[in-house]
Amino acid sequence: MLTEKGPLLPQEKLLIVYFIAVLLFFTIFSIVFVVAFQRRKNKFLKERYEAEQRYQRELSDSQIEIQEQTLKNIAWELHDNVGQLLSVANIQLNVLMNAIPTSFHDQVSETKSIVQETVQEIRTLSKVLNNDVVLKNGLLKSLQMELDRFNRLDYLKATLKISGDIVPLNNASEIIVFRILQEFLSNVIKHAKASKLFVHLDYQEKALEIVAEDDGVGFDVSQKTNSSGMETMHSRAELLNAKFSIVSEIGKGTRLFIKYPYKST
Amino acid sequence: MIAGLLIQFFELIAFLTGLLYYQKNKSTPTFYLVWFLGITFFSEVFSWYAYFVNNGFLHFLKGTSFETNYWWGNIYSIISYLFYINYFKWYLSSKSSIVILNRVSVVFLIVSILEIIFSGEFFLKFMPISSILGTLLVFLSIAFYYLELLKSDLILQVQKSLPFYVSVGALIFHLCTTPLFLYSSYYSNSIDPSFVSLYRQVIFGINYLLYSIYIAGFLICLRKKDPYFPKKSF
Repeated sequence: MLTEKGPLLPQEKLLIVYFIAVLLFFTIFSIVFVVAFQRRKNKFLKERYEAEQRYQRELSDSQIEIQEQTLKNIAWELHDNVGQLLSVANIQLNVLMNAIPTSFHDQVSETKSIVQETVQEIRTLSKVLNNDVVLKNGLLKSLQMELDRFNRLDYLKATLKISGDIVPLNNASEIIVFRILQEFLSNVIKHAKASKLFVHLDYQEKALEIVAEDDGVGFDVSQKTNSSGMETMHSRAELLNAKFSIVSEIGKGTRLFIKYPYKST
Repeated sequence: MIAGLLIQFFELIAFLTGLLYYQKNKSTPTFYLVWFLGITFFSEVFSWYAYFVNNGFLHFLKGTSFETNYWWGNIYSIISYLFYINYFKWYLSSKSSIVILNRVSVVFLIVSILEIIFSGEFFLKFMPISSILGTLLVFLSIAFYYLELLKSDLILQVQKSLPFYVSVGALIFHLCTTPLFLYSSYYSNSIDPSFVSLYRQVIFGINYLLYSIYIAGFLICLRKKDPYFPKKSF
C-alpha cells in the first residue's frame, strides 16, 4: 500500500508554497510582458506610418511649389518677352500703314487688330498663370476670367454659376482649388471636343461643392489612371482634405466633383 | 574545501573587476554594487570561522549558539535581499514602481525582523519565510526593471548595460538557491550526507555561475561605453 510516513514537514509545505509562488509570478510576468511588447510594437508601427504620411505630404507640397514657380516664370516670359515682341510688331504695322497705298489699309488694319487681340490674350493668360494675380483677384474672379477667355476664343460655351453665401477661403487653398479646376478645364479643351461647359460653385454650410461638367466625348476612366494630370489633381485635392472624383462615360461627357470642407480657423 | 575556497576567489575577482569598472563609470548604483560585492566577500571570509570551531583555535565556541554561522548568514541574507530589491530602483523611471518597491522593502525588513525574533531558529538555520519573501520581491524588482527596459529604446543596447547582467545573475541565483535554503536544517552529515553533497554541488555551481556573470558583465561593459546613466540621484 502506498502511504506517506507522516504529515508534511514544514519545510515541504514551504517548498510547495515557494514553487507555486514562483510559477504564478512568472506566468503573470510573461503575460504582462507579452502585452506590453505588442503595444510597443503597434506604437512603433503607427509612428512609422505617420512619419511616412508626413513625408508624402511634404513631397506634394514641394512639388506644387515648383509647379507654381514654373507657371509664374512662364507668365513673366509671356508677358515680358512675347508681349513686347508683339507690341513691336504693332508699331511696325503702324509704320507700314503710313507707307503703303490705301487699298491695302483694310488688310493691315485687320492684321493690327489681330496682333492687338493676341497681346490682350497673352496678358490675360499670363495673369491666369501668375499666382499673385490669382490671389489678388480671388478664386471667383480668376475662374470667371478663365471662362470668359474660353468664351472669347470660341473654344466652347462656358457658364459659371455661384450659389450660397460666398465664404472666402484662405489664400493657399484658393490657389490649389483654382489650379485643380484649371487642369480640368485645360483637359476639356484639349481632349473633350465639347461645345458646352458648366461650372457650379455651391457654398454650402460646412463645405464648398464644385461641379464642372462638359458635354464632350468623355473618356474611359479605368484606362486613364496613370496620367500625371489626374495624379496632380488627386494629390492637390488630398492636400486640401477635399473629396474629389471624376466621372466620365464615352459619348456622355465628363463631370468633375470637388467637396472642400472649410477650415475651422 | 577547495571548492569552497574557489568561490571566495571568484568573489574576490568579481569585487576587483567591479572596482575597475567603477573607476571608469562612477555612478551611484555602481558604487553600491561594488560595495555590496565587497561586503559579500568580507562576510563569506568571516563565515569561515566555523571551520576553526571544530579543528582549531575557536574550540571554546563549541556548544554555544555561535557554533555554526547561520546567524551571520541570516543577517547577510537580509542585507543581500534589500540590496537587490533597491539596486534596480535606480534604473526605473515610473514613480509608482519606485514607491511600491520602497514600501515593499520596509515590509520585508519588518517581516524578517519579526521572524528572527519569533521563530527561535535564528542560530540554527536560514530563515525560510524571509528567504521566500525576499526572493519574490527581488523577482518583482527585476520584473519592473525588465518592463521598463521594454518600454524604452534601451533594449537595443542591453548587452552593454550592466544592470542587465546583474539582473540575470540575481534571477538565476535566487531562483535556484532558495529551495535549498528552505531545507538548510538538513545540512548535516549526521542526518543526510547525500543531501549535503547535493546542497554543496548546487550552491557552488550557482555561485560560480553568478560571479562569472558579474565578472563578464563588468568586463563587457568596461569595453563599451555605458549608454545608460541612472535617471536620478536619490
